[in-house]
Amino acid sequence: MSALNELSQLKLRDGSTRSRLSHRQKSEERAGYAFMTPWILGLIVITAGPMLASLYLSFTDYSFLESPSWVGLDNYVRLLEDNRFHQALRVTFEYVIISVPLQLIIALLVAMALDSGLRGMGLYRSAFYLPSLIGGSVAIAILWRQVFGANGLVNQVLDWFGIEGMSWIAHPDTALGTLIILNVWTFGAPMIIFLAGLRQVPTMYYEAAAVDGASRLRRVWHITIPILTPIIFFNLILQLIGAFQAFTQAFIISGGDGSPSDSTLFYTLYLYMQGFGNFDMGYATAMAWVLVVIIGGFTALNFVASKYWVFYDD
Amino acid sequence: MAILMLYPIIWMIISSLRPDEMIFSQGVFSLSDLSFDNYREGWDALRHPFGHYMINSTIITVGSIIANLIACSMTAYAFARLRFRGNRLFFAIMLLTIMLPVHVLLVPQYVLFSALGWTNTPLPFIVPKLLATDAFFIFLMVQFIRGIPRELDEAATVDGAGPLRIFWRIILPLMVPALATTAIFTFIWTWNDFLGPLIFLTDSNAHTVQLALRSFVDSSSTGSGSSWGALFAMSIVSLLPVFLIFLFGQRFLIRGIATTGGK
Amino acid sequence: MYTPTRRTLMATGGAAALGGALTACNGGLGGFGGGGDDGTTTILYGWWGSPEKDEALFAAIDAFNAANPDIVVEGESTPWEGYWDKLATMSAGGDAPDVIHMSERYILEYGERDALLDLHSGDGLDLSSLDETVVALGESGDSALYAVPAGLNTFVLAANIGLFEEAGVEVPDDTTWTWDDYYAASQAIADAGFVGSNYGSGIESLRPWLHQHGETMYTEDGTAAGFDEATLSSYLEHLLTLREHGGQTADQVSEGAGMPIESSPFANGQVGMTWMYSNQLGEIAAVDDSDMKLMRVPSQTGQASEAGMYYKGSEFYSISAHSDEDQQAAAMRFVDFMVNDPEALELAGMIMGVPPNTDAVEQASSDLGEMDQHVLDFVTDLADDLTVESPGPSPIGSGNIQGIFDRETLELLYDRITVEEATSNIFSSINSELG
Repeated sequence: MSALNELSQLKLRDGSTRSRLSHRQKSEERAGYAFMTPWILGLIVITAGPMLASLYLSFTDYSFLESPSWVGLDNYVRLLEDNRFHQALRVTFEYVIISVPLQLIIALLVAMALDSGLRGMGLYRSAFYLPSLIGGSVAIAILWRQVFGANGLVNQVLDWFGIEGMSWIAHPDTALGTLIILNVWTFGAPMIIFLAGLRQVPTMYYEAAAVDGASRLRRVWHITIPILTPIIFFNLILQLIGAFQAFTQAFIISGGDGSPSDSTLFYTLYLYMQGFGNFDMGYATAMAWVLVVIIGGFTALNFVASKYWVFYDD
Repeated sequence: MAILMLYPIIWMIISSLRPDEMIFSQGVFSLSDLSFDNYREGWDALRHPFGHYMINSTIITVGSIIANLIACSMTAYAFARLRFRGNRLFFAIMLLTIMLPVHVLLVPQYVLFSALGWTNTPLPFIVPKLLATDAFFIFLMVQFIRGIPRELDEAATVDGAGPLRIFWRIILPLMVPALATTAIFTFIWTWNDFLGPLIFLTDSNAHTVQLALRSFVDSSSTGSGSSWGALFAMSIVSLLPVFLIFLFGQRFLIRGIATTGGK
Repeated sequence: MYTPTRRTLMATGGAAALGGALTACNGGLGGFGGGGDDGTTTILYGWWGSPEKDEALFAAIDAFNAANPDIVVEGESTPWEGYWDKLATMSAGGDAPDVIHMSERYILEYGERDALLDLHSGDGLDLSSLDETVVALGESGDSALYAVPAGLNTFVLAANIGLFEEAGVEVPDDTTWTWDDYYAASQAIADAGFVGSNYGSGIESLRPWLHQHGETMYTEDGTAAGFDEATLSSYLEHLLTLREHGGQTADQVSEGAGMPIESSPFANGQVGMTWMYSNQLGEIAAVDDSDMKLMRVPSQTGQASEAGMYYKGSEFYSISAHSDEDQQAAAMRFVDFMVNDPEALELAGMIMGVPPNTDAVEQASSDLGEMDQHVLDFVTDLADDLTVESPGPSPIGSGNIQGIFDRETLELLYDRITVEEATSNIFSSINSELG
């Protein structure tokens, strides 16, 4: 639970000054809880129960079919000695560290290129979103082999340049790379969020800058990017969480077992294999909570760092 | 670059027009033997006509969108603008809820919804969203609201407006791009969700599009045959509404500028 | 300053309307009960489906319901992708279907955890027309019958006759061939510019090899590997020998892993021979119209009866141990109908493999395509050559072993590890998974 503590220490700036009348504060507090009612209800009724249940299960031996039996820290101790678990950690970190920044940069660049009121841009935006629509479907496994296989499109292109390719998707050294490319290629979601953020940049800033005679590049750097930082921050946090939990694409493309040679054995894929494949749900939930701590740590770090680069207008 | 993006959809469309045996063996751009047979057969191949599953998906999806728009915008407003005890702690807890992999929540959630008698209804999909459990969109809206200049609120406060009025009159109209984003993503993600419908909908009468699509393929090692052509054809059919909603919805991203720019 | 747009108003109104509709929905839809008020027993049968299988099974259910007015069977088809996740989740919630479609791999995982009824314990299921070895496919070590096979298949080789002809190679006689004949045939195909053969899949193709050396995959109690490291080594050496004689490259093996067999290079006419479950031939034949033929596993001695082949249950029927007694009794009658009734067998045909009921096989084969008929004949004829005991269901904890095996053999084919390393990795992994 240290992640939670760290997060709660972080200062979400309230913005309003402290010198308000106390009855105002009280009415604001009442309004706060009123607006929060659905969420608080949801936490109590829907979210908390299953989460606490899974936390409890992580200290048990649980097979779905029999009642859980308490084993203390056994599951967590087992993780320390499990080589495949360590492999899963390596694969996942490599995936996160490479694909998250790449995807964000591409999404931001494309969003800025598409951010104009020109007619027909809608079609373009939709085209760029298409890969995200089918990125999780069964068909993608077949498609990816037709692209990155030994006789795939990539090798045909390389062949024009006289380079002899290899089966990128098959070889343990390159298989993870094809999944990273797949993730980067499905940059539609962060792109749309960037687009929405760009829509919100008040035009008056640009007008003022235009009067000052600032160049386009300067305007992007000094106006667009700073105003966009809350959105960049949002995308960074969510893509980070998403990448740590990456499952579907690895599941589909590797045939569900992290092949070849465990080179695409993602964290949640291994968790799934242990839980649902091996009926070791206690172990799987322990893995899940370790992942929460890892993601929570990264998120907390980012919240701390965000003080230095994210600008809020409030 | 556009080709890079369009290639897969072109490939899927062409595959959907081919007989099963050619899907895997032919290059993309050989255009012989194309026909709409897969569409005709795929539509009626399952227990119900494919349209039945599309209606089920639509009910769940529309309900989810409305629920998310209402609940997430309220919660996000409270997080971003209102001061109350527990604000930061709640925010941290909210983020925590999306860090836990969904697979370990399935069993407890199933037990919960089954005890409530909600299986085979749209309730397991919509009620949680009405109770603001979709933290992704709350966080998204918080970030957008915090980008709205606070002088606007304060000017309204001076005029005597309370939080509800500020939320309704100032914040909501100014966050149309965020609301549009939420609506679009809720649509796509709910429409494409497989795991939730798999667990909570047992009766084929209540099945959704994604369950129906997976039903075309039996990939067990002893598989009794898969209808690949039908799968591709119905995949295209199921993508149509998503694509249309997207084309339509992204206009609101543009409309956003008009609202913001007009002040 | 701002007025709410028409859009937001519509959204709010819509939500209220939907709230009402949902409440109405809750009462109206879904929920399978136990007994009905009118003295009938309702049971739920869940399976993993395909359009073809759904049609057959729903028709069989209708036939059963018509013939048994006191029982109502409800059918529930789930896609294979997700079937086991859902079954585990529903079982955890105490809501497993009464009749459960089972796979060999999960029989003991569920059975030994008291989730499945011992079918020997009740009446109503007539097993007399099933061979003892076939019944054993669903039995645990201490003879509890957790599952009855709905169909049989066997893991053997298939040859693309058309490709042999094109390459000018004679198809070997599979009743007398040895491993050397197999290598030679593969080499000859490769010399003609195709791929000779693939290697088979994990433990399924290892098993005949072990049987040929008088060993088994697992010990009888299922807690350890049932073979010597030396035998495993010899098998891995055999894979490398095959690689020298026209076997697939490591890239080809890796690319094909986890992919539908219809998309395999064999189905596309680029490979001479492939290992597969007998019932997959029908699917492949639908893709490639050239002539296909199943072939017995090669032996060390040239005698098919010493090739160590075995029947495998392709799909099974199980009954939930947690259903009420009347529901279990009704479920027994339904399973009996599915296994023994001529009408049910005719409807199911070869969809779930070769029907294990030898008396009723005639019914199933009344209306088969050429390829299905060939599979049926092959599997039926094979009975004479089966000399080893059929392996029982996979032991508890063996879920990852297939994957471990595939991983290590791929590493070996990529020359990233030696035979010795692969042997010791596999051996120790199996024992630690089962232990």
